[in-house]
This record gives sequence, structure tokens and C-alpha cells, in this order.
Amino acid sequence: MHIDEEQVQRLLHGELPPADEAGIRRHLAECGECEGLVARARHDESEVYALLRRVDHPAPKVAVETMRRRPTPWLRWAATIVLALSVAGAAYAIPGSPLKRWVHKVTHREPALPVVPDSALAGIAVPPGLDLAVLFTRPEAIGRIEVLLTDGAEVEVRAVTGAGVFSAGTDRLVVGPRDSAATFEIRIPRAAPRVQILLGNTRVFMKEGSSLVTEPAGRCRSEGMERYICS
Amino acid sequence: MPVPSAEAQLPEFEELFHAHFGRIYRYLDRLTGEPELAADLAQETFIRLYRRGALPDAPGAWLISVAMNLLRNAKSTERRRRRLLTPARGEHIHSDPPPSPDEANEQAGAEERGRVRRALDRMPERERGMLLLRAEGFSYRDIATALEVNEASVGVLLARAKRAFRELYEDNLDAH
Repeated sequence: MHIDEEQVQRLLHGELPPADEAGIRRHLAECGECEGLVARARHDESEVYALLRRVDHPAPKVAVETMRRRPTPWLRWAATIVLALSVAGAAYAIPGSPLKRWVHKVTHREPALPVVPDSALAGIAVPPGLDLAVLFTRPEAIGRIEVLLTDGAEVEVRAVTGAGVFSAGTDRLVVGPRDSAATFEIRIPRAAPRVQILLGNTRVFMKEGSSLVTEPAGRCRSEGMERYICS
Repeated sequence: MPVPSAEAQLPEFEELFHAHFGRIYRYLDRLTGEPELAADLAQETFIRLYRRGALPDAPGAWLISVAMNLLRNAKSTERRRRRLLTPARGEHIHSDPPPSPDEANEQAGAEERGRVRRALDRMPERERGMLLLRAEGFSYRDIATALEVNEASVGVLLARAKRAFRELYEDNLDAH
């Protein structure tokens, strides 16, 4: 009687009861077929684990003390906030309070100019989440869209020529070209579960897992490895 | 019977932290491919353990279950971060010189990582969980409890998960 798959795995992982393990080891000493099965399973597992290590990122250095110093639960926070507001309110109410003058100064400050002028912005990037739609609101004004698959972590949409207006919702990126014949580049992480590109109401490209759908035909064409041109 | 305070259980907590933090982080990192999210969730898992006061009977299974719940919550309520881009990168892409040998190696490594990532992403959730938890050395009992499967069949399910991963990984090789 040969050993079964459950026993092979349990033997590899030290999950057999001692009495069963002794019996199985006696059997392996006499049965080349089962011994080969265990050796192959061990070899296959080490190969799989080596592949898994390829996607590892270094673990953060976290001290155990960090767990104890982290903010207290919300009730304690709420109590702290209420207390602070009470103290501030009392200080504000005192006649001639410097706090009142400070509050007035802060709230009547001139608005600051934006650091980056809007015209310098060329695109937007968001994490792909589980499902993301990139929607172009004025397909007639799109020159072309270049789609690239990358190892990045975010979906990036960028106006290569011309300019666009970008906004992000919970599951969609909306792109409105400012100029006619604007061209865009969309970089999609290979690891993104599902990303669709829509020109108006028409879906022209979809990446789902590792499969890529470019229908209806003629809207997107492959141009080399993992690069598509849509129009 | 009074519940021991977190302070009273500190040595046990520290022991669990040192034994499991790296495993929980790696499990989440491999599961999501998002190291920052994995680090946040691994820390939050241990903060919850600390605040719980009394340690659970099966700490491994408890940690896995909490980490998985936190991940589900994070994914379902994920609010997209927006990052505005400047034109510089787009211009770069179209004028990059051919890759040097080091860059070519890096590119090959990135492709390999991409293949592993895609294989993991395409696995059914339970098989992927099983594979990644066992790769971190969690016991069959912990895995069975956390994934709600029969402990007696963890070995067979695990063998199936490893085969599924290999097949998906090799599919990716064929596709290139």
C-alpha cells in the first residue's frame, strides 16, 4: 500500500502523528516509488517557494514598543478632543483674549496662490484597486491613446501632446481632452486585476488578470510587446 | 475570572510579535503586492492583539483571520489617492536609450516578478491563501481554522494549490 498525497505533504511539513510518521518512514525505506514521490514533492515545493520570494519586498523594521505607543482607542481620543475644545472655548470667551485676535488673523488671511499652475499638470495616477475604468468623455477629440503595461503600482494617465482635464472617482478616472487631437498615454500595472478604457460609451480595451481584450476590432492594435495604440 | 491585562501579558505578546510579525507581513505583501499596505495591516493586526488584552487560544489562526479581515476592509473602502503628474516622465519614455546589460538584467528580473505576481493574482483565493500561509510555516491547524477548511484535507489542498501556481506561472512563460 503506497502513501497518499495527504501523507506526502504532512511528512514534508512535520504534520504527521509520531506513530504514523514512523510507519511511513519504514515504508519509504522499502518503497522506491513512494520515496521518489516524496523527493519530487520536496523539490517542487522548494522551487515554488523560491519563485514566491521573487515578489518579496523587504520587511519594515518595526519595534514591538510601537504597538504599545500607538494612539489609544477612539473613545480616549474623543475625550481628549472634547477637553481641548472646552479649554480653547473658555480661553476664547475671555474679554480681550489674545486667542480671539489670533483666530481672526488666521481666518482672514489672503488665500495662497497654487504652487503648481494648472497648465503644468499633464496627468493623474491612482492605484488600480480591484476594478478601474478610464473614461474619455469626448472621444471625438482624442488623437490617439498609447497603452503600456508596466511593473508600477499605479495606473497613470498622461497627456503626451495637448492637455486634458483629469478627475478620479472611487472606481473610475475621467479624462476630458482640452484640445482637439490630444494624445494620451496610459500606463497599467501588470498586477492590476481589471482596468478598462472607455471612449464615451464604448469599451475599447480591457485588461483582466493577464488577459487583454481589444474589442471592438479596429479600435486598438498591438504595437509590440504589451503596447497598444487605440483611437 | 478576570481577564489578564495587556501589560501582564507583555512577555507573551512580545514573543508572538517576534515570531509572527514578519510572517504576517510577508503573507500580506505576497497576497497584495503592496508592501506599504502590508506593513500597515501587519502593524494594525498586532495593535489589535495588544489591545485585546488576553491572548487568543490559537494565536496563529487569530492573527491570520484578523489580518485577512483588515485586508478585506482596506480593499472594500479603499479611497483612491490622486497623484498629479507633470509632463517630464512622458517625454522621457519616448527618448529612453537602449538598456545597458545591468538594466537588461533588471528588466528580466522585473519580468520574472511580473510572471509570479500574475500567477498569484490568477489563483483562486482559497488556494492562494493556503499556498502563502504554508510558505510562511503556519501549521495545518492554523491554516484550516483561518481558511475554514477541513484540517484533515489541508495536505491535499496544499498540493493542489502548489500545482495550480506552477501551471499558471508556466502559462505566463508560454505567453511570452
